[in-house]
Amino acid sequence: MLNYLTFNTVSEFFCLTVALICLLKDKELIWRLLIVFLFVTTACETGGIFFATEYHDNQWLYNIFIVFEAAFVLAIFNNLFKKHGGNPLLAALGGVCFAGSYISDLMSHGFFKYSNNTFTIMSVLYVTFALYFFYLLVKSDIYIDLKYSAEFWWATGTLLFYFGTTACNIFDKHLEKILITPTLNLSYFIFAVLDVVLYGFWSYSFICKRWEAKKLEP
Amino acid sequence: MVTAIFLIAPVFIVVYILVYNQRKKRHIEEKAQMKLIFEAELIKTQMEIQEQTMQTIGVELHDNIGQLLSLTSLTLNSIELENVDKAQQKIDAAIELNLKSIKEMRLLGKLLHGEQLVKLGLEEAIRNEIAWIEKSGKFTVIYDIDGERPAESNTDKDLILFRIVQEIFNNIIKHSQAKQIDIRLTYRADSISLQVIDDGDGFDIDALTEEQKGMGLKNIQKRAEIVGGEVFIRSQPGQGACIEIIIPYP
Repeated sequence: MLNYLTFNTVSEFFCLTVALICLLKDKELIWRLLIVFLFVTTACETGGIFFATEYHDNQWLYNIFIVFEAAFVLAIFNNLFKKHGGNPLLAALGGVCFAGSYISDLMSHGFFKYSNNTFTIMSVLYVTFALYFFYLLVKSDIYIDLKYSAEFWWATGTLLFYFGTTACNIFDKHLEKILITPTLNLSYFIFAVLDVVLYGFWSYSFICKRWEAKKLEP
Repeated sequence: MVTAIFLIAPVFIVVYILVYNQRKKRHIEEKAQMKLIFEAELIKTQMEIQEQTMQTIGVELHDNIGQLLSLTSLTLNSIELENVDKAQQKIDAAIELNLKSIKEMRLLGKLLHGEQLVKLGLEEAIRNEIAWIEKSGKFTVIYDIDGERPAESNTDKDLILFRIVQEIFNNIIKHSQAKQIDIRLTYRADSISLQVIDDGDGFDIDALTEEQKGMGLKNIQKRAEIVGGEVFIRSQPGQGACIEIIIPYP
């Protein structure tokens, strides 16, 4: 049972709980759908631990998850771009990039090996999209109090996580050689911290979304 | 620690966005504050123009039209119907006085309309003001307009510029002992320039104390600044004065 209590599962579960409390009655469908995404994420993470323990292989599961991840993250970026006067075609272009690299990965090494190239390409794309969103915020004449902006903190979490994972992937060969415990290398801990950062920022973003909704209530 | 190193760049970007956003907030607040000041100044300008108009009308009614009508009344009262020839002369004189009163009244009506003239065009409003000054017979005014008035005008700036013209005229009338006033209004591609030159006593701008600068010069400076303009004053004792105001336009 303790196997299932990792930095990842705990932070994901925490974020899912916050999402359930804050987003369940949100007016925007895309934000409500984030609950589904977080549910899928938590289930996948738990399932991943199960398959790794029982069958020593869970890469196929993450190959399925990466599709959900791309769909949800791109959909939210699409929503942000539309709202802030960005180019809505960019997210669609991201979808095309994903499809291309995913098919290429599957064709080169099959379904049972993790599509690492796709993850790296998409991570770079998400970072670019988050920066583009920041550019839209800076360019806009309208002032938004970013301290309480759900969109800003969601994009910040996304930027930090995917920037960190991309950097980590680049240095993975060196990082995996550094063992922190007899069984866990440095990469594992970096990913754990990045997970906490991501779900921490997303949780705060959901709280902001709830505050926004409360402000608009009559 | 390693994670922190990896995240230095994105964290820096996020902090930059937050700091920039705060500056944007301050900028928006300052803009709103400036707009309020501008609107308040505009209302003050309108009030001052109205006040000056009312003062002129008061003086004119008392000193000129009032006198003319009194004289008409006296003339009519002194008519002796028995002496037809003399009576006819007095009636003619009364008619002439009455016509003069009507003419003066018309000029006053134009002055009252002067405020509205600003809305129709700065040039007309200034022309009207000049007509009033020339009426005193103490000044010769030369008025030139250069360049083409832009298709799109800015009535707020016109109003402020018109008030500046009034302030300059007030200063000339009160302090300069000038005989001639040259006014040149120049429309440029993105600005308007107003130059007023008089041949009066002049003054040493550096030697003027704050009190001597008075409200007149200070107000001219302040009003020009509020519409993003500049004021250039050149003067020497005994050599008249030249005041030039350049403001972005429209």
